Amino acid sequence: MVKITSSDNQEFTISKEIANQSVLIKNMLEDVGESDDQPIPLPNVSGAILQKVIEYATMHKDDPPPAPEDETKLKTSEDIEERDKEFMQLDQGTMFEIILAANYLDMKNLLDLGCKTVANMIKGKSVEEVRKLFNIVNDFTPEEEEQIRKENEWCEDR
Amino acid sequence: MDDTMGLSFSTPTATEEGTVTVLKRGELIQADSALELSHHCEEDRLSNQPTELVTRILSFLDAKSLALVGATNTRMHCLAGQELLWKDLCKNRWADKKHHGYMLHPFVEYKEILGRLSTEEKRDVLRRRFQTRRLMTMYWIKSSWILYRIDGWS
Repeated sequence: MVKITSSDNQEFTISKEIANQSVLIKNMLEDVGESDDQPIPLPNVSGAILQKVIEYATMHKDDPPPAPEDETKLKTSEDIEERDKEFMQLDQGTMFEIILAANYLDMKNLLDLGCKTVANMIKGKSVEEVRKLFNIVNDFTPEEEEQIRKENEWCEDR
Repeated sequence: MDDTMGLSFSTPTATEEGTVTVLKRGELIQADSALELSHHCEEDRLSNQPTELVTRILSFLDAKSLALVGATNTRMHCLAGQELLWKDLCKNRWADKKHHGYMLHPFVEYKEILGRLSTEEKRDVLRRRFQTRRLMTMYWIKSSWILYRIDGWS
């Protein structure tokens, strides 16, 4: 078993196979060796988010290790498993925190799941809808906006 | 935060016009600083993320969505314009043509890259231009002939 502590000092005890899904923790464990039973501090992840991440890792503990990135393969956001879709039904704040945590913990599958979910939220929306969805503040001058509108004429619906 | 700013507020309520009222030690203020606070609470969740994360998210988009996302604000315009993203999209778009090698379209303006072309490439472009023109003329003659036959058009 492996002990980890969150930024707000919550301690979690998880099995090694779950811990190893995070490349960061895996490398740490390899560095400190088996004998050390000190908890691993994760100062960038809060307890609530760590809870969700562990939930994801538990759900995927029997998955094969992620394949190395294939440059030639088309990257698509359509291939999300049903259980993952359900897992990602969260408020935006939590979702982005999970993405940041997955990035920090180096969990490729979870990171991609988060990024694909956000990509799917963007797809099929208008510029104004995307702004509203993520609270993006429009900081273009009217001239710049006109310029970009011209650049994007090819992708407008006719 | 409360100590340093002398503020204690419940969640600010933003009205539709963007004016915000915040409770400050019991009194209501309505000011620009309140608007700033509201931006802080309801922060821009996508474009404020680290570059590598936004780029990763954008790498899952199709060309149209990528272009639209780039029109939301300056930072997104910068991130969505990254050549790497478009290069991948192009590669996938023309994946079935990859055995063709690079070819110059016969009717593009290639004055600017003229110096970088070999004689062979220039000759090839000219030849294809000529061929395409001839085909188009033939097609035009043929189609006028058909129209003539159908409508008595001359």
